[in-house]
Amino acid sequence: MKNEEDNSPQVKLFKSKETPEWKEVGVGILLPKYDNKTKQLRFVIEIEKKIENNSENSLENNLEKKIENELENNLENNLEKKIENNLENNSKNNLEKKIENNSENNSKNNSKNNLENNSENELENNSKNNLNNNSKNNLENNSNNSENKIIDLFINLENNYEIEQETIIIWKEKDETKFALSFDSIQNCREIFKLLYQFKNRNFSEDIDIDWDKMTFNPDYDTNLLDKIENDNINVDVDVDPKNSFIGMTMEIDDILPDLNEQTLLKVDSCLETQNFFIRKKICQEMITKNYLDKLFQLFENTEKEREKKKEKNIANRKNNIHSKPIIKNAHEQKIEDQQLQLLFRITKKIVSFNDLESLENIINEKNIMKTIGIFEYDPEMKRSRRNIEKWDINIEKAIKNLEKANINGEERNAQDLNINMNNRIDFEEKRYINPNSNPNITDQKNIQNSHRLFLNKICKFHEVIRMEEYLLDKIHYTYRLQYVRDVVLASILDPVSSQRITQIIMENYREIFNDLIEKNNLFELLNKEYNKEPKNQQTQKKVIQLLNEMSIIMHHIVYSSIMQISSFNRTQELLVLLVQALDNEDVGIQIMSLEIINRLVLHNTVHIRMFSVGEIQRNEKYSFFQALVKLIANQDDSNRTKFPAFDILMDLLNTTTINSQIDQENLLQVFYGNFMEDLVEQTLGLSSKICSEKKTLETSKAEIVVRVCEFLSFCIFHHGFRIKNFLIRSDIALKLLPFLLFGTSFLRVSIVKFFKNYLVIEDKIFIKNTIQIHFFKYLFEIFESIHMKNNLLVSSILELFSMIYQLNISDIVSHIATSFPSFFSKFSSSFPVFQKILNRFSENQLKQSQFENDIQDDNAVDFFDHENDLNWSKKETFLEKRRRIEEDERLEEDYFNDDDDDFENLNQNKNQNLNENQNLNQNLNQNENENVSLSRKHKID
Amino acid sequence: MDSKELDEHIENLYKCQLIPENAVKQICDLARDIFIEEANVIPIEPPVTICGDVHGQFYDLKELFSIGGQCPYTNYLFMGDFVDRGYFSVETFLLLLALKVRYPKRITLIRGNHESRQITQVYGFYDECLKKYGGINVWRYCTEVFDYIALGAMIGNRYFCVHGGLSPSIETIDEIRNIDRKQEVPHDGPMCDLLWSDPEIVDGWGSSPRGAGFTFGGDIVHDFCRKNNIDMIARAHQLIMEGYSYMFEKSLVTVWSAPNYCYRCGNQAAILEIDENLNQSFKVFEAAPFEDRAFPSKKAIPDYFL
Repeated sequence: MKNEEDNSPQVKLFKSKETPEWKEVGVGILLPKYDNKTKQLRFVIEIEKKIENNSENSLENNLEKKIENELENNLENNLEKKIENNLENNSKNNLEKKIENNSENNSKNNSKNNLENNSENELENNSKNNLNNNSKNNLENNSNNSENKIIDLFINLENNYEIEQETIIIWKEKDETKFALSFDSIQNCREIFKLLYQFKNRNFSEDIDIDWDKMTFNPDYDTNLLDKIENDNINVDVDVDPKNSFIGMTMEIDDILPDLNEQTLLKVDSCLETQNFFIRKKICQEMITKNYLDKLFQLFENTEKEREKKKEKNIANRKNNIHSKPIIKNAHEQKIEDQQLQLLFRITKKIVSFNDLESLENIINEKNIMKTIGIFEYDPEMKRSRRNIEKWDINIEKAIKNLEKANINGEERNAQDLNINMNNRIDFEEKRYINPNSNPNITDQKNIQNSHRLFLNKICKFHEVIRMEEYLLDKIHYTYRLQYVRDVVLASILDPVSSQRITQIIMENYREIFNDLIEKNNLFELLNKEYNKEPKNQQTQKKVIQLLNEMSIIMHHIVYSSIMQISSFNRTQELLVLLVQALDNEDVGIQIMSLEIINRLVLHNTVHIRMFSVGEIQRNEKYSFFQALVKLIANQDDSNRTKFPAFDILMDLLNTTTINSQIDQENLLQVFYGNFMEDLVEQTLGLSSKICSEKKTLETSKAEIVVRVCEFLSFCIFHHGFRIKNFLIRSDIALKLLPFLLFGTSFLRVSIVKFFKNYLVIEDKIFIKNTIQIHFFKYLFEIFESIHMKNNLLVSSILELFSMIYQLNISDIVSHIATSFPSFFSKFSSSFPVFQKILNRFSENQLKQSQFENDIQDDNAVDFFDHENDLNWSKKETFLEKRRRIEEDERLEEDYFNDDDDDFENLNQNKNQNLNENQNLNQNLNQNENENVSLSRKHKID
Repeated sequence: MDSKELDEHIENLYKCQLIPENAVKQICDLARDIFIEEANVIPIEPPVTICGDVHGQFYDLKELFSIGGQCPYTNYLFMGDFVDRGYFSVETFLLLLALKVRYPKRITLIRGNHESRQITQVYGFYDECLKKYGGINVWRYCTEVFDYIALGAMIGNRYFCVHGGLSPSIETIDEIRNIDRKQEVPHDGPMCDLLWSDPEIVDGWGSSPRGAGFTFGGDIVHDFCRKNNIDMIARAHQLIMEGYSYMFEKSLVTVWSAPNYCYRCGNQAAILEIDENLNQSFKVFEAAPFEDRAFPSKKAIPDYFL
């Protein structure tokens, strides 16, 4: 017997009756017993540890009592959660621990809600009476058997036995009592399950082969396997006939979904607990064919109405007499509806978690969405979160105060008399009922985390900026609610596919809304009128821009392709005319929003915006888009909130890599460099440079702008060829930057070093000469000497600059620094390898130079030698003469072709020259790391 | 901003509450001034607790602090990827940033591949800033700070810490010093590799399936450790179901500190504690209990026009 016990599986038995909560019955050894005479299979469990058997009552009574006591509090403690936890941990120990923890939590909850439990006494008694005899028969215990208890589980052929998560066998008796046996190992669970299978087939003699993988997979976690089983018949074990297999048995689900009414909620709930994909699929089909969801929502509405009636009655009673018995009774009656609503929530949640797209679409369609949102207000887990409990407590206090205020007779009420536990039931809606005049404020918003409908109906505010047709308004509200459902209500349940489906619906809705608004209703024209409506009202103007801002966000993030709808030039023009006005608005908020709108618009519709900007200048518009941007950037206030986005827009517009037409590029650059570049740089960098050289310091906000200007100029160096060269030299920009290097803060210095790196990286002779002339390296070495010990970002920037000079072998600079600053090199070349490398490079260059000069001399020497042997020596060319002659030939050749060109071709040639220049720059750019190049490769992210 | 004001902001951030936009700007400016003085590879003296990716899982970061000890009583090194994916990237990053400003010697942050303008626009941080602040200025301030964050750390001259891994362009740690890190994470080159690469069982360098960085084998790691006279490379960047994982005879460790990644992976998280004598010990933890969490902050903005 002992040996038999040792090999026998250890199990935990759970039971669930009428409620979704699972109750642990006990832990013990399971012994299967088969009676050949009666053909009856029993599972005899010798209970080693019984849960909370404090009294002398029978186990059965104890179990019933416990079940009833935890009707309210035990929802968290259901098997589903345990299964989920088990999935994560895949360890039985963890499962046990969690069960223990949950038990502890429950006992805490019990103590917290004493009154609630007391008020449930009546319910408890009722439930006891309802206990089905059948389950009694099934769960027999023998208390006479010394200390241990014996439980006999009679196996019924008609029951469906299923495996959950590999170690749990779960089934439901005729009387709706559910049982679950949790095994100590997968092997034991499978052995017992095999036995059940054999018993069902009345054949114990043959060993059977069950494909366990298929029995226990979880579609939520292994969709690949799911697809495999569904699509790949090879994987199906050929020995198992689907009709006779367990999968086959459990697929007989026509009777699983009972008619939906108040009495069958538990049954429906347990039906939906299955993890079996095939059953789920069939359930979903059945729900569609039986209009199950309509019934579900109808039932929800009826139950909630009933609850509201009782609640109102309850509050009215409380107002009259807060301690009277009827309050408790009402509360208790209301609680039945609460339980039903919670069950409806569980059912809906399970249906959603099936992630069946057809069911999901039904649940969130325009007709049902608010009902779904309503059902999810009854999620007990959310209400139990600690934060909420704290908030509830605040509400309770407020509600009590309101209640006291509402007492017209002014009778003093001892607050201590108020039973706090009782008042735990006061939720936000009740508070509002008590004080109907109170409007929800910001604090209230936080307190109504669970009142989704209240949030949507009362807190959320739709602003109708222009008059819209009814159908459009409905669609807008519905779409907003859909987003709320996706992001809040169902966020934790939806799988990515379902979430994506909702996004698709949202996207389609917005596409329709935008199309109707822009094309049929002339949205931009109307908004223009609204914005300029006299007398001008800043609030109205703000709303106009807010609407556009929202629209641009949606277009940017949700309906990427919908940008096509405003892509026509006329529409863009209408929009930009309005936005340029808004950029000049006094309200910084409006300015910022307008900039953000343009920023998003530029990303998708650069061509039209460029056309608009150039067209404005050509038409000599008084206030142009470029002008507005430059004005914002050059503004001398300390706030940079508008300056940064304005710079971003400028850079996007002036990015020549995104301009296909050479003529367009020329026109744009001509307009910008001819009218705005000088102003822009002088007003920002020029002024700051003067301030910095005078005061030997620069305030942070101005320094930040200088940093942005440096970035902008670096960008121009890589994109605008001769125009920027001309501008930089003509405006003495390098010289103007020196004060920042000398007196600026660290981040400004880093930026200046970075600018010079970009200035030199294109290896332009003029830039190189200019850098040497302004003694940039002298100052740079001085700074390096003072900070080299710090090993900070500025040191890294300087080292990278010299690495670049070394790698590109910019010989003029190498020669300049190596010969002008020998003491610096002797001091630092040992500790900083890059300086030693530069010295080496200098030596190499010198060697090459001397070799080159030797070659020339050799050349001359050969000529001279030849001369001695040749009478025609005077006709021989020296090397220099030869070079001069070649250059002259080239020039003549060029002149010859130029003479043949007409003016138009001349223009083209110049343009081609510019293009080549740009291409050269781009080549240099590619050779070096450049942060401004747009991402060409798609990254796969972790 | 004085320390009292900063403490108030930290207190609010600990409660997962947003701080005003101007305070964000101030904190970012202060953080920039601190980061700019740090080396590309920051030398750190033990004891210190090494943490991997956090990914905006604020309540799990709080759980991390409760497991590993509160800042400043415990020294921390966070190896990047503070933002994206989770619901609370803004609060998470701002809390870490505020702690950095308040206790610059107690907490070290190094940059991850998600601390980038391009990546954050795709993986959530941009949207979150937009939703929570109604504009993208906060995103601008934060991404500007990203550019100043260091690329690696060296603990007690023995453990080299970096977000992703090694680069074929870098043989010695000293070479990292020559990188001007003040830039958007490039698409290739040594800086990109440090933030994007992954270790691989196969020896040598390989192309990364991520599309950026490389894969590197045990031979590369051993070679790097020998040349630089270090014992181990600690890095993050890859989800480890158990929270941490050693490779190549313990010459490389991956630490992952975002439990139940993306709220659905079911993984554990870990932190690696390095004591004064450079002994290593891991603390593994689960996601913060449901009761301790706030609801996802994705609640729509109450005012809407469309």
